[in-house]
Amino acid sequence: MIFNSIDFLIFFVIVYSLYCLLPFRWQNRMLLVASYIFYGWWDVRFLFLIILSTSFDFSSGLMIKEGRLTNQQRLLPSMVVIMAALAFITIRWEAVELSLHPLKLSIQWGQILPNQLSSWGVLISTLVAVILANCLYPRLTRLNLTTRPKFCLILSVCGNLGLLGFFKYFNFFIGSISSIIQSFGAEPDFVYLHVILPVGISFYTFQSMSYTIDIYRQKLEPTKHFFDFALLVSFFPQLVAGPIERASHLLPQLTKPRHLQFEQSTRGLFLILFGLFKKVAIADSIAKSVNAIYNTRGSVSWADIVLATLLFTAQIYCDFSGYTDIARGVAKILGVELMTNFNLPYFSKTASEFWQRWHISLSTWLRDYLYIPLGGNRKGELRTYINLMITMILGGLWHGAAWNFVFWGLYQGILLCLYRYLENKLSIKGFSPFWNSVLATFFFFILTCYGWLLFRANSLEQVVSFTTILITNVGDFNLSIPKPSLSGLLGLPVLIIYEIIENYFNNTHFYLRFRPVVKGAFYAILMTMILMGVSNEPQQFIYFQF
Amino acid sequence: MSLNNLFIFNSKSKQISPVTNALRTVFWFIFFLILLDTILNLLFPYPSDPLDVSPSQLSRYFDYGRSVEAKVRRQIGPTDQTSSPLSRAGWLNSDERKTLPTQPDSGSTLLLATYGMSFSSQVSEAVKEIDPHVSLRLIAGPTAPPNFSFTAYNLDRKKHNADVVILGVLASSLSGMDAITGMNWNPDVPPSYTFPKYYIKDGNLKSISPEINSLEELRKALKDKQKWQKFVAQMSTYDRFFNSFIFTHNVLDHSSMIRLIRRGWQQKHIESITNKIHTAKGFNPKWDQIPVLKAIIKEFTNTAKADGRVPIVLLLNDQKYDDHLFKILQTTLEENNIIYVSSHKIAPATNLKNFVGDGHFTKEANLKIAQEVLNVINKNLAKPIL
Repeated sequence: MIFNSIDFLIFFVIVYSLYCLLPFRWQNRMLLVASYIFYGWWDVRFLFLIILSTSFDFSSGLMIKEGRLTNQQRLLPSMVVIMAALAFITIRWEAVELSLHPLKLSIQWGQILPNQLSSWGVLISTLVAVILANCLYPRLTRLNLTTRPKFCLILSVCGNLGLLGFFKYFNFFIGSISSIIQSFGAEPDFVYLHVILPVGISFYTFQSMSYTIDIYRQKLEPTKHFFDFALLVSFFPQLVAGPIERASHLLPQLTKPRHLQFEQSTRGLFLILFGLFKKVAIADSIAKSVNAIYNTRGSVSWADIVLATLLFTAQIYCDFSGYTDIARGVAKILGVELMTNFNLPYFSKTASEFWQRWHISLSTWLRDYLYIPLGGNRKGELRTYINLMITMILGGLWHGAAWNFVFWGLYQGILLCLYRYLENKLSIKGFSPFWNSVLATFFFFILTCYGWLLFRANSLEQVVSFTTILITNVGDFNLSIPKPSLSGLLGLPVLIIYEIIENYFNNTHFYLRFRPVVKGAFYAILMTMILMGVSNEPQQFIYFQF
Repeated sequence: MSLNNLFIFNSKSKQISPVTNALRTVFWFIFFLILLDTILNLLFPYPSDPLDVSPSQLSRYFDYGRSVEAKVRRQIGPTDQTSSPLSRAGWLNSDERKTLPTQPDSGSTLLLATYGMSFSSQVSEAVKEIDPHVSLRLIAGPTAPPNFSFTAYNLDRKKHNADVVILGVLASSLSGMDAITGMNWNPDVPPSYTFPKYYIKDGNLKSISPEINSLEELRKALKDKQKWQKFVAQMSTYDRFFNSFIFTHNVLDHSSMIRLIRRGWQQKHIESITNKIHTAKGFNPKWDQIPVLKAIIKEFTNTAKADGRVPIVLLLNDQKYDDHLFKILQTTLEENNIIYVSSHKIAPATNLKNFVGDGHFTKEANLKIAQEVLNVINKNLAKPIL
């Protein structure tokens, strides 16, 4: 289910209505079911993965801190995982037909069980794994106080990374190894997996990994209620594309009764409206022009690449920050505060400032769970640069299993190192601080745009050919890029003006000070542009692929 | 009062409760939405004269979501001459066909009959531009699907002495095989002409004829509620793209905002159908019209050969379709020795430079495809053109 769809609108109206009627405990159960429906809308089989990951990390968290599980804490996840394998992988739901007019349920019993070995394989493997885990449990409890938390943490991290590696990176690494061997003249015969990448897997594995790591670091108390933790992992507003929430921030909000506040709800509605404006009115209307240039196999001009890259710079920002705004807005209406993920990133003057403003939940995750454990900037200048490079390359790889993401990460690492090296040497003498600041922002914006070229390119060959054209064909204005739709052409200036004002006030709530007549006019303009955008071809959120 | 005070509450402003503030904002929001709706309607009206074929881009943009029925009614004048050119195009029973050449013109040595759409007509015109010894008999419907082209060919078979017949198949028009009119699968600018829908029964091609077969019949039906309902009922049964919210004219047509919403719905509706027919990987071989297309191509080739003509299947792979059309037909073409020209290598669909803004091939691309058509004609004709 995607936010900018009629399906989601109906879904959310039902969820919100029930939410208002139910008492707190039932609110959480309903939210959990709703989150699973939201996620299962793409592919019901993915629910098994999320439940597997949830059960594994719930048990790991408790084992790290408490050293033991109650019978209920042990049996509930075991049963849930087995039931999930049965319900989502083994049963063929196509054999069940529900008709609402008139209300009728017909089941073709002969076809309800699958004939593929793979489905039975998953069920049997799950049974074996659960039995094995329960058999090993007594041995685990006997480990000493130092070994057990470490062992459980390693299990949890390896489990999460294993899941991510299997679904996301297996084919990439096999392909890369194969290419290396081929370059030596051999013909390797590796097996490639035919698996679909589960939506949002990178987001929820990072989120649940941070949960166990924080418990190990004694920064967080584990929850003793399985369904609370399940809701933490699957809370639908942020499930598929973040922000990557920390359990320490989200869990208390989910486990304590929430009070719906009028102002929080109105702010939530504005965030949804503004997020839809960015996504539907701008990002989707630009996509066609960007895709035309980046997907072409013909020749393109210098101006085509420059324009397409500038448009992609706007597209990816509007797409992803639009998604975050909607996610935060939806959560706010439900009384939950999600963290800010974007803070005017294109106003950054340096690389480090950019990463404090862009995809903040990922950059702080990488900082806290990768950069700092590597030593951060505590082990001398050279190690700092190395740590920055490692963090950014892995951050690039997090975005996707392709070499251009690795190069994008490398590029971002180099920028971070360069800016760190040149710190305080970047101002131009004779220019006022204001103009120095404007120039620095403009210069870094150009560097950011080139980074997006690396990110968007379909292959390394395209990176090389586009870069060559950018250097050698300067001024070739032979345009073949299609014109973006009207909503994008009108929406972009509106967004730029809005953000300049927001930057000037240095306050995301500045619009609240407007008179009702001005707010009403502003919202009406946003709504009109959303409706104009709705009439364009709908596009998937870019970050769903990660 | 300063400009700032006009927009922003100052500290001395009377404090109002958040609920009152929100209610006022909602009132102004609705007020401005209605105002914008009215302004858009006044600023960008769509011309009511059916013969006015050049409304501004913005007038067209804000009109795309008008119901198909309203657009069709607006196109039709009291007579054919006072109706819009789009409504006149593509009818299979058109009298205009009688004026087309039946023999090569004086000075020409070959008559080339082409059945298809603007793409195939442009290629044929480019053939004539390269070789003036060719005369043209062009029959086309706006973005016509193969079921239109094949029917047009069959109806025209005995009416001329063409040496070469071309059946144009456009990749993006293939989905129209699931329709009986251009109205529903092309609702932005709906061409109203109709064509049969084909299916295969007992190994043979069968067809369902539309209730309306000419502009005159359409004009009458628009005034006769019963006839119109019968035609609508037929579309709802046989036209996969028909959707009553998109099709039916009602009071909502007057709001530009509702029109934008309807256009969004329209895009989603058409996308949901076309996604089952074609994806980025190619045409879905399980789509029930693929065997129909193959049968059409085979029957076209067999009948044309039986008539003593050179049949050429012209495969036009337009943007977003790469070589998908060729791929889905390659086996049929090769196994049945069908003469064909496919644009996918001559003017690749993945190269933007081969296309102009409205999606047609550039003149250069048309000339390249035409040259290949000429080569194929010369190779297969008993006597070369000259």
